[in-house]
Amino acid sequence: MHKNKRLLNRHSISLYTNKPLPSIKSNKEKKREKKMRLLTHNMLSSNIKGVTNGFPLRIQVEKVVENQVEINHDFLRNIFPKIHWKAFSDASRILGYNQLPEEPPEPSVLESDVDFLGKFHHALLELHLEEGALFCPETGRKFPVTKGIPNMLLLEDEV
Amino acid sequence: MSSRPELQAPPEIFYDDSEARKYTSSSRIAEIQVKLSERALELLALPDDGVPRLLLDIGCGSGLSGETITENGHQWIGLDISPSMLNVALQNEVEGDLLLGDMGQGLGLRPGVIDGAISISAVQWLCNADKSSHEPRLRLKAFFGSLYRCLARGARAVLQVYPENLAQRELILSYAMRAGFAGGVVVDYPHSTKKRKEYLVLTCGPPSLSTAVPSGKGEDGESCSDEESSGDEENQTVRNSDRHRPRKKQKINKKGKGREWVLRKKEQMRKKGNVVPPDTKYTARKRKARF
Repeated sequence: MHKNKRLLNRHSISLYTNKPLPSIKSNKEKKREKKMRLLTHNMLSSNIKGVTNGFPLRIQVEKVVENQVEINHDFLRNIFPKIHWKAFSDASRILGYNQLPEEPPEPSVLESDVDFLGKFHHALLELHLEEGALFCPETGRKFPVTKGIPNMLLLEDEV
Repeated sequence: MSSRPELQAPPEIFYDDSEARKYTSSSRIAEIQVKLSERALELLALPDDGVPRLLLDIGCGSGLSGETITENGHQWIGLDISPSMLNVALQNEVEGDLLLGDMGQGLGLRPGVIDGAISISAVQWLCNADKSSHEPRLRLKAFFGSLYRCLARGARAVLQVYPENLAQRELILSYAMRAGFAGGVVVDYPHSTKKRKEYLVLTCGPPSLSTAVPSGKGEDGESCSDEESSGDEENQTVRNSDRHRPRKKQKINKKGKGREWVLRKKEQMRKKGNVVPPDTKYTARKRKARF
């Protein structure tokens, strides 16, 4: 599972914070790095009281990890209709992956085009946001992502 | 002090580092968790076509239940309120994604995207008001409402719960029904106090044949107990409403209780150490009519 783990340290593109970039961790710690996949990002929406359209959450990147996993075509075909394509391809671009088309492809592509399936798989399951934040599109509320775990806890007045 | 963790502290405080460590060090806890999650997956009854589904694990904790999902080849997203438990999950390098969140605030997920949900020993926490702002009824409503929304039509949710009492079970169930779920409670080992486990099996969508509670076998108590003795020991299930054991009937006929009955009773008394007259040919013999 953790055969080919690369670190893509990139400059923070946030307009909100001027935090220094996180230092590169030792090898041992690297192995434990966990992630939020774009699959999860595509499912998450902001849950604050009064927000009518909490999707998609804006991503702020501090650190992205790549983590190769086995490809499963059946899963990709099953999940494809549920993916919000616009949000998904935008998010993949923010994480620095530019290979996905902006317009949603025809479902028929999934049957034959192995090349596309590979790209889809890579963006959906192998790109991980490790450090950064998510922002509610309506209120701008920040949900910090640490060690790949988004903190979606709301304050009492937001419930 | 009660042994119920729900009564000791709120979940994010109760499951601190030392409590979370138990979930990696105690093989007993791990074994129970794995068994519960295997059973929950079984009740989830996903179509057996080898296609991985996207499941939700509510109250995933250290990811023990998630690992069972991974073993069955599905993708999952886990939600928990305790950072310590999630840290343990990180150390265990679980496959699914983790979210730090409170199910009582509703699940922040898009509608109709999840293929199934399981939850092991978590939902009863909603019945407690741990903060002044907590109102159990509102939290249950928010939880079941958002769960119903994020599940795909026809998808199932299997929630293993430890309700404190009958009222709590009714409360949980009534809010599930109000959210639109169909389904009911499945009880494993109903006659055992320790092994007894309850599962809420909920189906998204209007009631139909496919939404029937899986253990709907045995509509009356008698056939139910038959099933139990014939079926394999591991999977005894009885519907909650049919949990009435048939009353033992005393064998009384015209002749009275009979010699056998008297001999048995005398034997019982002897075992207790009472002084009992010996069994003779006169024992339990009828008196003559002229007497």
